[in-house]
Amino acid sequence: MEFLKDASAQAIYGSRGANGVVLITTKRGKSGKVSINYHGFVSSKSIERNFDVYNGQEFAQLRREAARSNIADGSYPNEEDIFSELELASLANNEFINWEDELVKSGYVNSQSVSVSGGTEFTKVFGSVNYFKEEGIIPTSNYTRKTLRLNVDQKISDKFSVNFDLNILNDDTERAANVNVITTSPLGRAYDEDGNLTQFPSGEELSAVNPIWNLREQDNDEKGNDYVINITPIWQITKDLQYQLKTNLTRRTSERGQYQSSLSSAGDDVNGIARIDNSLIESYLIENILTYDKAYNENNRLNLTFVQSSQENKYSRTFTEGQGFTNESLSYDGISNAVGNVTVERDKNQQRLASFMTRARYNLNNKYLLTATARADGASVNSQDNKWSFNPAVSFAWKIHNEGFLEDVNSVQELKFRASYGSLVNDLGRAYTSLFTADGQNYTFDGESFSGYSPSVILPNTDLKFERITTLNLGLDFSLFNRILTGNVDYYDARTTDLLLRRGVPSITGYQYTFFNAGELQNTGIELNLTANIINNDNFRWSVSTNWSKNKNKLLELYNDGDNNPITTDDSYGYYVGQPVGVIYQYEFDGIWQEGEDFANAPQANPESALPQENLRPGDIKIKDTNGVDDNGNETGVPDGKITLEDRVYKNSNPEWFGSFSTTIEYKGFDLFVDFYAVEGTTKVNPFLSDFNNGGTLSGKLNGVKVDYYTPENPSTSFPRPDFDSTPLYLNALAVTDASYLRLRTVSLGYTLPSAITSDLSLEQIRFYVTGTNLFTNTDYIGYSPEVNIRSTFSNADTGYPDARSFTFGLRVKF
Amino acid sequence: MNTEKLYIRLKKGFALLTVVFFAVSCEDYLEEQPSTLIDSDYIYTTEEGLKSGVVSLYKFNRDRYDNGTEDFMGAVLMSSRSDLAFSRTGYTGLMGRYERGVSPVDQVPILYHRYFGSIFITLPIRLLKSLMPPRN
Repeated sequence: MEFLKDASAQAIYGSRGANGVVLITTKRGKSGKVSINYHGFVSSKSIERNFDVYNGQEFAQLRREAARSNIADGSYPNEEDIFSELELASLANNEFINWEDELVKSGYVNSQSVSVSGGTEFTKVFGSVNYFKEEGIIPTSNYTRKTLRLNVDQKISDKFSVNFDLNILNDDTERAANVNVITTSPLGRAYDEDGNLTQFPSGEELSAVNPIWNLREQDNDEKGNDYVINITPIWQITKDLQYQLKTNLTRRTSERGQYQSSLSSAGDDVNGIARIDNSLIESYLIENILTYDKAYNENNRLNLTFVQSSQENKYSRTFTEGQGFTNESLSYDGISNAVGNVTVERDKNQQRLASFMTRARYNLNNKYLLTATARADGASVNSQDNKWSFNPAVSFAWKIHNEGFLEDVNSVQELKFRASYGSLVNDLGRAYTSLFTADGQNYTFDGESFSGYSPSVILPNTDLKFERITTLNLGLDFSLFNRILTGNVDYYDARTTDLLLRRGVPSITGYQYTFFNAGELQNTGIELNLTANIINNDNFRWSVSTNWSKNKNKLLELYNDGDNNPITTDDSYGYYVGQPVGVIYQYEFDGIWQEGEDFANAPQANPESALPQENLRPGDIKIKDTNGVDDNGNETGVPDGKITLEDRVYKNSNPEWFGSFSTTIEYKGFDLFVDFYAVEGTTKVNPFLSDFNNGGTLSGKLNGVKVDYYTPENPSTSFPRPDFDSTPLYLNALAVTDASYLRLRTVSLGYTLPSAITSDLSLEQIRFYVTGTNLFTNTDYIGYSPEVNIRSTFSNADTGYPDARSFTFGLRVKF
Repeated sequence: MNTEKLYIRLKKGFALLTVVFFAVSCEDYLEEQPSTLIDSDYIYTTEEGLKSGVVSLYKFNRDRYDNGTEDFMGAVLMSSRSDLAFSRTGYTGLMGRYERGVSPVDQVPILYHRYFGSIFITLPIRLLKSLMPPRN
């Protein structure tokens, strides 16, 4: 695997590589002995969390406190008023539901693969098959994949050869319904006295449906078939001139079927919902590559490359939904028997890219490497007059170690300075946004359907074009002390101009939003990689590696308003000039109001505040008055005794830095690999502390992550007083928390049997290994993982899946 | 097989392929032609189209109820998709002057939601009922 980050190296990939290129070279056959490899592993996966949810008694108390906070004299409400009969029974018997025990099991992965490779001088073949199955942590979530790979390199003559690659993949996904492990109430019972699943575990009057019931009442399967074919004929025209035709054809077909029965929460109102979703992805890439490579002598070399490429990506989809089923036994396959609403949607789009590239490289005296690239890129998604753009790049490398003054310095094996400057472009990646289009909106009058058409919701932009990324990159590669210390350090400054942004448009126009080019974004950063091969002999090897990255992202400019005055903030999409993209702009949490504080003069209670809290009381969230506004509406930076929008503060959601530290030890047949990963200085809004659907609002309605909330008897300074009726004001400010972490990502121990034993068994190599992944995470961020943002658990989309801790046992055999 | 003949055939084949694939990249290659959307000119320039445009306005009003695309102003903006008329005063007037109502959902609730927490959450009605004193 190879990573290309500087502008000049990426230039040959054009807009496909504007965000960096990862080159993965697939295995190919070699001439000579036939070799057979087996690799199999099994993993067990479990979920990792650093919080507790309220248990039954605690959850009941939370609801009592939430209800109590709305009772004027501060007394507790009657138990019968806030709990259902089943909940009261649960409390009386002290029997509660532990949803995690009911719903979460350990996942399991099984992967088996065999590859065969070999060849003659003329034909080389590599073939592999892989079977991969994962049973998810939530019951009914499964994934199975079968792949076949076949690479054939055929030499036709001294001048002609052709490479064929074939990849076939077949996969089968079973998705679980959304499962609310955290938020479902522990009060009530998951199974009735006869052992049958209950539909409403806390009683029908509370309407919350048993998640296990919903799992049982839903099917959601997706089957997919992919194939990728690469055919690359090569013609060595003369000794120095080569022509290559790279062709790629990719197809993916998939069918997704979903059924939500009349007994599931979603299908309840309409007597069952069946959905069938068929999609087809088609793409091709054709590159004509002409290379002239001339070595004048050992140290001087010229390389000229011309590339012409065309690429097409097509996507089409037919979605059918039928509602209302009298007989539900056929699941989604009975869709044609729907008696209720039937919806059919058809989407199709096509995107094309075309480009011409020419590049010259010259290696002068094996000391100075010069590269100049010029490319023209065209994209179909751009507007009529802006299809094409021109993008040059230059780079220079100086192999300092080949200079005379370093020839006699034994401690320097490699010292190379690199500099590059160039631009690349990105397209919007979405078709037809510059065209005036309309779509169908039929309406039924008196039982008769009439055809309706209205303009599409995106306001077309007839000036839409590429966004351009211009990057300056400086780097140093080194290898010192007989290659004991190797590494590289890189600095970059990338400016993105004509950013492709999305903006809402006034709804009175009939359109909803538009895409447009504006503004400038800067990314600067440093990357460092270091490897120390501390001990390196036949029996014992020890190396330590680290990489460290720091990126600073800043929006330099946005767009102008109708009077040509620059706009510096866009609250609805979160763009703020001078701040990074994705910055959190939120009020500053300053603790919890306590008994006896000066409520009369609190800025939050000021009638001139944006949200005056006249009834501010102990247990409410306290917000810092950080800024003020003078009579002319200008910010003063001085607190003005009221809380207005100007009091919000910026918190960077991008990390200050991130890095990894790993070590490899090999002793005789044993090898050990340990890898740590750290992210520092990142901030997130934690949905577990602020979002109703994730149980974060302390309402006593949904269960949630257990926190030390305020009550008159327990005057907490970190969380507000629960409230059944309304969400505590400024809860989102409280939820802005540090999400830095240190994680032990991998520990892997392997053992390779001595060759004496292996050869007795007529085998080439046998290796066993055990690997632990995500073994330990140190973070203040409450949740399953500081890396994954859980989406709202009530959304229809698949819920963000937490990264699991896993243990793997694997075996590799070479025949 | 005569190797020389093979060379010639291969050379011809390559030359042909090169020509074919260079020819692909002419101007038309990057033209966009939507296949599931029609040109909106149809609505404004034909009689049938104008009628279909009116039909679609009914559809949007119904969608407010069917799909819950309520933007908190549905009651005052039943024909927000119409550019024929808008109010010059009051809240809808602000929309007419582009000072409010940035789609798809009005910014005010968005900002409210984002900065002050979710106060628009509808409580489960059954749960509210359970909070009331028992009827008997």
